[in-house]
Amino acid sequence: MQNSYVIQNPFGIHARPARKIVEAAKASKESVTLVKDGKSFNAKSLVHVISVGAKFGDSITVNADGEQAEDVIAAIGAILTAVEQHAEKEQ
Amino acid sequence: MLSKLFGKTKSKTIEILAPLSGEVLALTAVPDEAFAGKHMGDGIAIEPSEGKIVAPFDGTVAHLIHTNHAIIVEHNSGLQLLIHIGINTVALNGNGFRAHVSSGDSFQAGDILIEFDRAVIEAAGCPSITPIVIANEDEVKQLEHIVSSGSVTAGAEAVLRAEMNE
Repeated sequence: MQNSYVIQNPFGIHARPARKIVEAAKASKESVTLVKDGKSFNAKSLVHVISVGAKFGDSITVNADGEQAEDVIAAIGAILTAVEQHAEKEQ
Repeated sequence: MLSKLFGKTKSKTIEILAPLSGEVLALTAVPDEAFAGKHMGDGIAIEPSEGKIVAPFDGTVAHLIHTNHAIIVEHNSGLQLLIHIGINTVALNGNGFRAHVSSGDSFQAGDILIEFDRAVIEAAGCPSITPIVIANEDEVKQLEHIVSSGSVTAGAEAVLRAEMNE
């Protein structure tokens, strides 16, 4: 199954949110991928997730299989749509 | 992986040179829970004494973050290292950072990867302490901390030794 989300963090998916995505993806034993502009990235690899280069306003599709797919997709979706606190106090 | 059992009988050990000059500190000294709690991976932190990141080994740029404040470098053994200059520096949106490489580039140990301006980082209220962590811990069997305190010179001495899975 899959679901799409739009990045809400003004700083996109940089190192810290990327690590949270990897942790959420590792809750599943099955493959979890992020898709942006037709390119697929392994959500369990920090380098892959950072390499997505997701910026504010980008649409990302999360794909997952298995019994926990729904929970894993929702957990990653929450990270993709989260806004970091330190982002709010800038500017 | 079954295929990995064949053809590789000895484990690969990589010495990681200090990617910047400064004072070596434990990750727990980093004022960011993600790094301090080792959630980003095991490694060390360096409080920079100069604004220059050099390659810690021969390898390639696995990914340069578009704002140039962090880079993931990869050794040919597969070891991936994340070097994150300062804390909350993503907010600077590239201001104060100048990359000398792009994603996919090859480099030799000691080559300059990124130059940065500590004054710009500190003026924005960001700590300039720089965590250096293993980005793919799953593939690392053991990480040894060669240096855990005191000052180091960029490219001159090994700070970490990683033994890869066989």
